[in-house]
Amino acid sequence: MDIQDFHQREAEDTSVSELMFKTAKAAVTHLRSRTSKVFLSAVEREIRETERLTGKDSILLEASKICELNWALVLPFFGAARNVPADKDLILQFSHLAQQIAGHDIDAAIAFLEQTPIALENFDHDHDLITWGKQGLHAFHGATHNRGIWKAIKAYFIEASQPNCGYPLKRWRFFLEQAIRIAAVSVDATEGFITHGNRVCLLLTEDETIRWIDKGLESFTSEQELVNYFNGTSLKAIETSDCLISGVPLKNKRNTLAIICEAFLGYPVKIQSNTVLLGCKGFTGGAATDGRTIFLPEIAPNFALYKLMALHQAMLLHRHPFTSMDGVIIADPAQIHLDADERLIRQLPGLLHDMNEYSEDHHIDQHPEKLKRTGPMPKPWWGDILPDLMRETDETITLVKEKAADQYGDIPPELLEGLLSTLMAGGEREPNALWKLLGEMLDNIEFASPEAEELQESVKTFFYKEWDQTTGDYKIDWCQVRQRIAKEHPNDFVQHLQERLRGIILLIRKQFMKLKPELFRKYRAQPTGDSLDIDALVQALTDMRSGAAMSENVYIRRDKRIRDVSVFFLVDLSGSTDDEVNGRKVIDIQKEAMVIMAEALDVLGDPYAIYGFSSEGRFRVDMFNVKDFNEPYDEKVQYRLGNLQPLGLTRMGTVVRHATYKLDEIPAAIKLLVILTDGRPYDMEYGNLEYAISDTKKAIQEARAQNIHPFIITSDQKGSDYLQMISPQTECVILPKVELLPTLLPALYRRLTG
Amino acid sequence: MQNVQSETNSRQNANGIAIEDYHITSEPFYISTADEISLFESAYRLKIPVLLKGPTGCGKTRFLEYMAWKLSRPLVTIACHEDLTASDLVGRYLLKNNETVWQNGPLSLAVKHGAICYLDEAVEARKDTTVVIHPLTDNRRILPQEKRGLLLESHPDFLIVMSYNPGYQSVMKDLKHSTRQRFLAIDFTYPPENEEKAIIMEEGQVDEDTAKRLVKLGEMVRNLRQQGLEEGISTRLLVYAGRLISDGVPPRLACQAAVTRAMTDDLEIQEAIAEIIAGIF
Repeated sequence: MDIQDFHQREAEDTSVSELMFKTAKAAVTHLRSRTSKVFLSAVEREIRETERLTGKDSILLEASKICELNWALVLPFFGAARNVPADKDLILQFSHLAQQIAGHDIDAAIAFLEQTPIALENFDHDHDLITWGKQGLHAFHGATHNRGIWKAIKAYFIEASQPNCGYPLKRWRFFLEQAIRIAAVSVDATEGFITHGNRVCLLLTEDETIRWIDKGLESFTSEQELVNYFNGTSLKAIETSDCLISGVPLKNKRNTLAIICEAFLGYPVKIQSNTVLLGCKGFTGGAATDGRTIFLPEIAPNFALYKLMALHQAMLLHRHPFTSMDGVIIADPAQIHLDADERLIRQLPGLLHDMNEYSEDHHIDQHPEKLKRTGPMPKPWWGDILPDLMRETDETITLVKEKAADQYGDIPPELLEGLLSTLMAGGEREPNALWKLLGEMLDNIEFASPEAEELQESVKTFFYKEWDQTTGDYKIDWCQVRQRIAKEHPNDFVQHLQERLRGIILLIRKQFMKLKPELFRKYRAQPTGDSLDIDALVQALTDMRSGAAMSENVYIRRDKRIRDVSVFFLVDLSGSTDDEVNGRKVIDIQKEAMVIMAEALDVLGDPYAIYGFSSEGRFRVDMFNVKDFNEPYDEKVQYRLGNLQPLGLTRMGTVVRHATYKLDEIPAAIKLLVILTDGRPYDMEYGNLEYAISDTKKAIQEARAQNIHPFIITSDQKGSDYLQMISPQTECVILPKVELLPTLLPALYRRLTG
Repeated sequence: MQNVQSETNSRQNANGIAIEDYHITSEPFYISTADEISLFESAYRLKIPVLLKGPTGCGKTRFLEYMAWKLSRPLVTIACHEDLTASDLVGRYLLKNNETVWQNGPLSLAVKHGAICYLDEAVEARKDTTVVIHPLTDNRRILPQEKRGLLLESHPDFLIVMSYNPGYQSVMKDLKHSTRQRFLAIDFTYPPENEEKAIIMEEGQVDEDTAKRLVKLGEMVRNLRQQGLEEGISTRLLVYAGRLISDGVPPRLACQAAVTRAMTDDLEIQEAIAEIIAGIF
């Protein structure tokens, strides 16, 4: 139908459109008629659209050239060309580039064309478009023999055109050069490097990045390992990058800086990477604040400069809106910075030395009152003042708070403020989106709902915070633990085991019998002992003198009478425990170990609890009660133990927090937390490896602060890397063979408490 | 009165400390920060036992020394600890020349002579020990010396005072309510800026500028309560830092020793405090 119309107009219209349409028609003759019809009608629409543009002739001419190369490029080309500024040279250059790229690979060319509108929006200059394309093309030239490179170049076109990609095009050229090197080994790793892996090198200089890549290429040979490394997901990748970094990365110093700022201000402030501010009006990449959070660059040449940046921003945050000492509001940024520095030096005169060291003009005077008169040469720690951001943040928070007060009237305002600033520090600043996120959070948290505890079975729910390493803050009430009772239907697992392992169990029971109680205690006025109790002796003598019978209880005995150890066992029920090792499931080996332990502890009399754990996202962290501290080791407990089955995933931090809570409730001098696991912490929405590890580490630290001694036993051979990050060597054991667990666990327990 | 006389003599024979030794002869340095002096004077007139609450090193003991001097009463201080027994407080028989001789404990001594008896860090004592003071703290004002079969009546000037640090939030170490409700309580905190400055100048023997910086340091470190420092930095530590400085130790080193390392073992907090010190000095 449309085509009919077109034919009618054909005669009267200019020849360029006609030529274009004819070329298009010719290009799709080999296709099925339906596909080609759809295609041609779309082309026709595009031609009409284009005819309205000023540069229509050149666009249509170029489109037919493109069409001759490949029909699939035509529509993306029109979509792109419509957005390219109407400059004939630019369009010609652009089209020529597209054709050249298409000469190497059609997919990459389509990506180039499709990303053009996005790129144009995000690049500072229109000509960057050409640089962007040329760099991709150049990469094809650099890897002529490698056909797979197109994947990486396609990824480059997509990544480099994104808003907030964080790199200038020059840096991307460098990345592409490096990608060619990686492509010689693995094409998929190259693509991973361009899409994700380069983030690991964000803080590295070019030389350091080259060394990072060399290290990856040297260390790994298997495809999977290479892909993981260059994707930036393997621990090795992150560690290597940490080793190479010159200067001080923010993540290593964030806590110290936060403590300094808290000491200075008197209230805690969040410290965040300033990358979330990309795209903010007035932001030039330095330190900044939104009035609640201090944003710092991810890397600084040294700590002193970081300190100056943080304190300077803390001052700005504290003094906002900025008034001078005379009470006048200052608007000029340079004056604000100078005033802030002046106030800083008044309070912390020692900073003068650092300021002098790092200001290029060495003009800061000994006397702060003269500061204002020195030229306002920007200092490296000043950063940006973003009044718009501060105002918007204020407005957003007020707005969302009001809305929340209407809808969720019962939430304490300080909790709300905390949640909001955490969300905002995470990068979300748009009120509606914030409101949505907040709503999701609040809807999922049930405040004070005692009835919910007695739902099905006898589930008790608990909420725990979680450590978010990216914002350096806790997410309050983030995870829900559902404490359930393991299934109790009868089975002969334990009985069977008791029969099979009778010998071992007897032996271990004997060993435990000999375990000497631990705590010394001084007993006064005893009939025997290793020293005289003078008080009692004098008492006895005076009694004798006064005519009464002399007591024999005049000794002090030091005795390890009391053994006051309690232990909490956590058994990993993650899906991976279903795996078999030498014909036996990991879960069964863990259960066997628990049976032997239970038999031994039964003799010793130490109170102990056993819980299985498994999770599926943060609202379903399940803890299965096998035995609580006050329950006897009876048939019911044995049945529950036998019924433990592999289930979901491992949200270790939450599990440890729940165990800490349970242990905290019981009185014992020594509290142990023993975790049996088979792999690294991993759960839905549990972030990457680093996030999971830092949360687990934090949870373990919290436990330690409660006087609990955590101990991790893992059968994951690759565990050494992350276990070291979670807890010191003395608190973890990597089993060379998981089959050893049943014999090793009692031995370990003896060593720990003996 | 006669009885008192003979007791004093016999105790001197038995190596006891005479009550005269407990008198405070020169005026202790103390700056009042609120109405604690008049409050204490009233309590003393009415003979109501007093509980001094506050963090460590904020001047509780110094205040009491000052009050004892002001009221010219002897001050008997008992540092409480876990092994303190009731007979350590009340007294016991000793053997001397084939005879038994009674020796009053510090509490009996104070009761008899009308001293101010100060139980420092009372929570540290075991609960069965602290109950011996109960009959002294209500209207009975008596101390039974069971071994002698004697009921000591308090001298009219006798007053019992305890100190207590609410900072220890341990379940094990809390005052029993039956004990704490026998006392009226005076709260102590770190002195305000100007007073603290004056204290550091006087006690630490430093100039005003140094004292000011030390006060600023104190304020900033006290801001860190959420960072796992159980208590803020005490005025006492700031005074120590001041003394080190006046003795010629470089300020940063002095603060490092008296503040950073004394306050915490956590490396991150140490680093942060060191930076704060570097900012101040």
